Amino acid sequence: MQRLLYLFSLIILLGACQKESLQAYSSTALVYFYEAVRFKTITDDSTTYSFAVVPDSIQSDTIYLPLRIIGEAAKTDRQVGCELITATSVADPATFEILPAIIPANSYTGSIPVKVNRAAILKTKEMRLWIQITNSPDFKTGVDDQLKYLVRLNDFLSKPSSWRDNLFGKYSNVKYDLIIKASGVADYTGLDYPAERNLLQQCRNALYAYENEHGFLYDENGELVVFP
Amino acid sequence: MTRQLYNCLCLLLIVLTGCFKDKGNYDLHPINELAISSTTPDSIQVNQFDRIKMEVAITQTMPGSDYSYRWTVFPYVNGGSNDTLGFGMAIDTIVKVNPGDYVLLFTATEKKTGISTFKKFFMRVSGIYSEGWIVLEGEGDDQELSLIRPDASVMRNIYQTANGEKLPANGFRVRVLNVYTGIQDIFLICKDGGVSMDYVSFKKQLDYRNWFFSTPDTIAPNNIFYNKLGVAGFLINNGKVHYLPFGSGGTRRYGAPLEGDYVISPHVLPMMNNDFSIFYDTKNQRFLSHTAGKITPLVSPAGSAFDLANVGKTLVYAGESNNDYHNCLFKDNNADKFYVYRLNTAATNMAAEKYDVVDAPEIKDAKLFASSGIYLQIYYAVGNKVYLLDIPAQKARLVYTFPGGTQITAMRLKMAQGLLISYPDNNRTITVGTLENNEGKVYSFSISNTGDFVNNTYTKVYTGFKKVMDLEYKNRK
Repeated sequence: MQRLLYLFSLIILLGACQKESLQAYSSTALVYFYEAVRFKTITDDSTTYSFAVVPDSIQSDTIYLPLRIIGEAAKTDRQVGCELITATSVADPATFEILPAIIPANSYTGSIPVKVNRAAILKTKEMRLWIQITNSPDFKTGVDDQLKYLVRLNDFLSKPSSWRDNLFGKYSNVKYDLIIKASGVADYTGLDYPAERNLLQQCRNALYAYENEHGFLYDENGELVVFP
Repeated sequence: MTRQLYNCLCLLLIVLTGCFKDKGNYDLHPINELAISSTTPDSIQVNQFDRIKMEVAITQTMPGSDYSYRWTVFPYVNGGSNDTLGFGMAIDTIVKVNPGDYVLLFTATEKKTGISTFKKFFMRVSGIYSEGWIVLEGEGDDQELSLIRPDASVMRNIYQTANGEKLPANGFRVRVLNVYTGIQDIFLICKDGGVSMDYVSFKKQLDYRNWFFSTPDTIAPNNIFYNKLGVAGFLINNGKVHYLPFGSGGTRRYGAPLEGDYVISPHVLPMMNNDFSIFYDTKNQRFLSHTAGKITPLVSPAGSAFDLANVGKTLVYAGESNNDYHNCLFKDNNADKFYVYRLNTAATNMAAEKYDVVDAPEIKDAKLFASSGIYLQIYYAVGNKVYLLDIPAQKARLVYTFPGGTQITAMRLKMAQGLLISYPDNNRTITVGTLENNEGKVYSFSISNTGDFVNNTYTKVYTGFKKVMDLEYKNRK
C-alpha cells in the first residue's frame, strides 16, 4: 500500500516536468461591419449609391459592405448571415438583392455584396436598405453597435456621404451635378490635399466657364452656386 | 520500520541526485578562426561616383576550409537598404550610393558550418553635385547641364552621365527650388516641356507633362517657382497659374489652371507668408495676388505712388530688392520710356515708390536683368556690356565691357530665396555667361559696396562651354 503511495507521489511529481504549450483563442469567430473612421469623427456606417452619377448604360451594379472578423482565419470560405431589417427599411424588391456573403479562406475581412438594379421607382423614391448581420453556422454577431449598415439607393442626385462643406461649400443638387460633369468624380473619400485642391479648381473653372457663357448659375433652391 | 527507513533513504538519494553539477559530456573541437586584414584603413572617404578598389587578406588557424565572400554596403548608423557590391576577396566598383555615411562590410562565411567572420569599414560618401552654379549650355536638341563647384572644378555633362540620354530640346531656364521639408527640386524648363531631376544625382524624375494632375491642352511653360518658405509651388504655363500646396503632403502634382481673365507674366514675385504670391497680368496690365488657390486683383488707395489695379504699362522685368521691396521695370506701351515701380510687399498699400528711368543706355535692347537684393540697383546686359541702373539716381552706368565680338547670353545674381537658404556672398556675386568665338564662358564677378564690380574686373572665368543659355546657383544639399 505504501509502495503504491510512493509510486503515485513520484508520478505526480514527474507530471510537473511536462512542457505546457500556449493556449489559443478557440471560441466561435465573430463578424461585424468595418466602419473606417475618417477625419477622427466621421465613420463609414452607411453608403449612398445613385444611378444618377453613373453612365446610363449601367443597369445594375454591386455594392460591397465591408466586414471584419474577431477570431482566427479559416482554411475554407465561411458564410456570414445577413438580412434586411424590413421594419425600418424602405425597400422595393425590384431594386436590390442581397447576395451570399462570405469571409474567404485565410482572410480576416470580407464583404456583403448587394446587387442594385436601376428601376423606374428610383427616379422618384430613395430606397433605404438597413442590412443587419445575423448568426450563421460559421459566425456569431460581433461588435454590438456595428451590426447594421444603411444603403441609400436612388436615381436622382442626392448629397453623397463623402460630401464636405469645407471643400465645396453648401450642398445642392445643381452644384453636385456641376462637380460630377467637371471632374467625373462623385465620391470624395481618400483624396489627399493637393488632389482636393485640384478637384476644387476644376469645379471653379467649370463654374467660371458656365458663367461666361450663360451668366450666374442658380441651384434648385434659387441660391447662387459658388465655391469657397 | 527499518524498511520504511530504507525507503525514505532511497527517496532522499533520488532527490539528492538533483544537486549534482552537470559537468556535461560534450566533445569540444577547435574551430577554424579567421583574421581579416586590409591595407585599406578602417575609415575611408570617397566621392559619389568614385571607383573604389579594396582587397582583404585572410589568415586561418586551420587552413583549407572553403569560404564564400561578400561585400555589402548599408547606411550608418542603421536602416536603409543593404546593397551587395561583390563576392570576391577584392572589389573594384563605382560608388553609386547617395552622399552620406555608410558601413562597408566584408563577410567571409565558412560553407560547411555557416559561421561568418566580418570586417567593417566606415565609408563617408561626399556628394559631387551638392553645390555650385548650374550651367545650361548648348542650343536646340544639343544641350547639357554642367556644374561649377565652389572649388572651381567643373563637372560636365551631368544629366547625360546620370541618365544616359540627352536633355529635352530647347531648354531655356534651370530652376533650383527648396521645399520646407528639406527636399530640393531641380527643374529644366524648355520651349515645349521640361524635366525634373533628383538633386543628389541629377537623375530624371518626371517629364513636364507629368508635373500636373491633368496635362494642360496647351504646353507652353513660362516659369516655375516656390514661395519663400517653400510651402507652395506655382507653375506658369501658357500665361495661367497652376498651384501646388506642399503643407499637408500628398501627391506632388500641379492642379488645374486658376482660370480667370488674365495672362500671367513669367516675372513673378514670390512672397514669404503661406501661399501668398504676387503676379503681373500682362493682359490687363495690373497686379494680382494669390492666396489659397484664388487670384484677386491688388488695389491701392487714391494718392498712392501708382495704381496697382491699372498700371497701364508693359512689365519688362521684376526682381527682389532690399527688405520686402520688389523692383518692377516697366516700359510705356508705345514708347521706349522706362520706369521702376517699387512694391513694398509687407505694407498694406504695396504701391510704394515710382521712379522714371531718365538715362539708361541701351536698356531698350536689354534682355538680361538682375535686381540687387541689397542696393536700389538693377544690373542689365546688352551685347558685350553690363550696366548698373541706379534707381533713385534714375540713370545707369557702365560697369563692365567684355572684348569686342563677345555676346552676353546669360546673367544671374547669387541671391538666397527666402529663409531656407543663406550664402556668405549673398547678393555679392554675379555670374555672366558669354559667347566668344563660338565658345561659351562663365565669368564670376564680386560686387563691391557701391554695386560696381570689385577692381572693375571678374574674379574667375570658366571656359569650354557651349553657348550658355542660363545660370542658376544650387544651394548646398
